[in-house]
Amino acid sequence: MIEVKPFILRIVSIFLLIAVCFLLQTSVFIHFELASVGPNLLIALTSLFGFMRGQKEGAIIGFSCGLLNDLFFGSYFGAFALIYMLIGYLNGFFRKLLYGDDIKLPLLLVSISDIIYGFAVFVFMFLSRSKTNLGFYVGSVILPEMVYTLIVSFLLYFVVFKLNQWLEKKEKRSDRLVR
Amino acid sequence: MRRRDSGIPSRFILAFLSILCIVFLFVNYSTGFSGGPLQTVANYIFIPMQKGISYIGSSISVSSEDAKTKEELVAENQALQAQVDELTSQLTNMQLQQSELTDLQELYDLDQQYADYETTGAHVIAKGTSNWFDTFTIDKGSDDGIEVNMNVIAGSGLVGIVTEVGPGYSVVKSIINDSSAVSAMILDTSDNCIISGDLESMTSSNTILLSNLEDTEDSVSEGTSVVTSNISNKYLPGILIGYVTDIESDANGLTKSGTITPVVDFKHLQDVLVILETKETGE
Repeated sequence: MIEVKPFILRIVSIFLLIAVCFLLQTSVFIHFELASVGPNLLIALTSLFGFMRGQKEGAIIGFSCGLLNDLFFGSYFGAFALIYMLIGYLNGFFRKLLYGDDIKLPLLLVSISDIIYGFAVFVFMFLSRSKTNLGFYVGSVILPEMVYTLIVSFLLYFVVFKLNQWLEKKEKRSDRLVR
Repeated sequence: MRRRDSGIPSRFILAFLSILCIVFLFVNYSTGFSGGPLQTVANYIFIPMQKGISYIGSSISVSSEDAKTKEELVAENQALQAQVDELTSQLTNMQLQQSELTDLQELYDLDQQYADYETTGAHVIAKGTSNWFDTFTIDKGSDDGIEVNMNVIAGSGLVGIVTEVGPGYSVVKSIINDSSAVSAMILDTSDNCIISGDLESMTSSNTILLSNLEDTEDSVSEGTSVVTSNISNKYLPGILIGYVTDIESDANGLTKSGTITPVVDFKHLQDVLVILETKETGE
């Protein structure tokens, strides 16, 4: 309960990052759609934070991103929050595999997360209304979205990585001061 | 670090958040609650920024217009001038017909059922985050008199319906959204049918689905206009939706189904009109 300041700093900066990603996704990338899909920055963000910071923070950040989705565009309030939260939590299991700034594993995780998200949406919101043509949805939504998200994640990864490094440095420093 | 590791175990957080989500889902299902105060907060934080970004976006697209050469402008001007002449003559023609129509309507003492609806213009400022459902946000809300279930049009065609309203924004669910269904009718024969959005046919051929059409006289063919029906409980009657592109008899031999092409270009939607009137169904 001693490091209140860096803790608040972390919350504020992560919230700002979520806000920027949300705005990019809803207002900027709609002008740069490829094959009529846009990248899913919020999933990428959730997955990256889960991977770098563990289950707890992954789940909380995923929950916030999903809730933001639900607030603006969800037809079932809470559904996206649940999907995002679980994805953030699952990514947290891979935290122990974090070595330096190796980019391959986080990007692989982002891709898998986006595919899981796609399947979850398909099963809960399409299959349940007896729209069953999985092949079509994989080919025209899930895969293009995954590829686009992956490309954008190259940049997002460095932003998240540097931010996290900076925050952890601050947290360590205040730790030392207290001791 | 130390503090977070010694804090609440992540399993509890997972369980707590899952339960919270499920509670949200239940409450949403039973009362239609979708955020309440949270929504208002989000409104004040994000809508101004989205408006700003979309404003910058539109000014950038204007400046690319500026870059046209003089020759292009002259050519365009000539073409437009020709179009003005043509339209003026058409307009005169129409005015004549209109006055004739008014006379006849007075004769028949008809109420103008499809009177000009009062509308307000709005800009599209953001699009839904998911590639699965087509929803978008416009920059006007309850402060401008917009209510849930108001119809949204662009040009002459139906775009969708307002599903959420905040003070300065509203969320519109478009008719091509996979979960949309509109009660519609064939313009000429007033036969009723259902128009439902479909991601699959929209992506592959720019069409949406038509179903449950009872067309006993076989009068529906390619190009027939489809409008919103007067028995719909949310959509005002007589708004053009699209034209039939394909029609086939169902296996039961009684009804027909097919696809229609919407008149609105959903890919390049920037400005829409909201009809400031909701349908009164007497329920």
